[in-house]
Amino acid sequence: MSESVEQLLAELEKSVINGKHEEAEQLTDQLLVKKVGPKEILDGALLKDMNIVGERFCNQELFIPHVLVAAHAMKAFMKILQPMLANDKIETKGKVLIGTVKGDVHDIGKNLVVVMLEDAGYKVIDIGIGKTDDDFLNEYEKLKLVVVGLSALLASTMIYMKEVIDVYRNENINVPIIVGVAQVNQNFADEIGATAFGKNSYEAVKIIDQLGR
Amino acid sequence: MEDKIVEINQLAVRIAKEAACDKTYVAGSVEILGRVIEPYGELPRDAAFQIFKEQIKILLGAGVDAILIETMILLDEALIALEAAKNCGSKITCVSMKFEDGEHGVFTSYGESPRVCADKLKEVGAEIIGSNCGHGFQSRIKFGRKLRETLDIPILIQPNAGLPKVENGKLIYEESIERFEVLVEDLLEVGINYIGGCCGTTPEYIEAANKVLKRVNNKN
Repeated sequence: MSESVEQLLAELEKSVINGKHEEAEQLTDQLLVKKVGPKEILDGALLKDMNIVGERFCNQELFIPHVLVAAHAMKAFMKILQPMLANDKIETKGKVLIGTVKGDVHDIGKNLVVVMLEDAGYKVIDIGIGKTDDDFLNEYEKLKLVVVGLSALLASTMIYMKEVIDVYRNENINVPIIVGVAQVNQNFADEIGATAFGKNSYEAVKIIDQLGR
Repeated sequence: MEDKIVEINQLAVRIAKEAACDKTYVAGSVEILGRVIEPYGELPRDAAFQIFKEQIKILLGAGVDAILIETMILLDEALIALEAAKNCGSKITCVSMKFEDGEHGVFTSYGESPRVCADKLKEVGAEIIGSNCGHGFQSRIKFGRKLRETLDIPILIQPNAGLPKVENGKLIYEESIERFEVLVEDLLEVGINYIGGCCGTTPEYIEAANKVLKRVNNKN
């Protein structure tokens, strides 16, 4: 007996979470044969997957490798589905400028946020590591983004995020600025004048979703 | 900065050795690469090994007594660094992992438990195993005791002085020197062999720890 579309979507959801790419590809083929649209596959299984992975990552049931595997799988699927999605007019949720601040070369956390944001439908402009307040300001002026994300790992560099925020505010630019640092909490974000603080990559996406509303 | 790797490392060792005045050992710190190693990321294992080897060779050449591999969030990266240290002839190598305290237990960001890390690091030849960074002093006693119960080699613990606050444009950490003294005494009591400080601790914290150590030694 052939499976229903709902069953196939549920199976696809499960196979992506468990990192079973081949099985996931076969299920996607079966769904396409059943004339299920790529957008429906995306919303019905893949985006749900990223949410589940993100939530379980927050709860420490899953860890960085699981997020990376899921994010890579998602990217591979998007390559297949993107051409078919062209007619569905999927609009990006907005542009996000992101970078690691001056003095800091760490970007594992930032890169996780980038893949999670891209998977969630944002266009991300990643300006890289060791960026000054001027770098952040110049990029903003060029692109007029919806959210700016600042990243740092080191205690010695995270204070520099305040300088970047100050330079925006002194120019009367009120774009939301969110920060992500390994060893801080909401208080730190409040003290340096950030709009919000993301404890991890999944929270960053959720916060940016809320800011965009 | 890349072209200054020899100069920076040699200078750091010289300053530390001058401060040590032959009265104490000097360890050369080796930190995470900040890049994701295969299979999760794009950096090949061998490339990671060569990067670690380059710095460790300079540190040993400059005369450090030990190599201290710190803040590792992935066991595999720690093992590559440890292998590089052994390959360069390091006689004392300490590997210190960063763990997160969560609802479901204590793990690295890659989901590895302290027990799994300790067993593997010991097997590959670490002389000292430790943990550094984290969210403060709380829970370090319980963690230290648990690690001591399961490990029969020297243990190092280097906590953060809590989480930072910003005051007048400067970072201020929430854990005081007085609380650090209490922590040091408790860690010594559970049998931790080496104690240090990570983010937010200053020379004053280390001085305080030294006083506690002397007091405890005199008592015994």
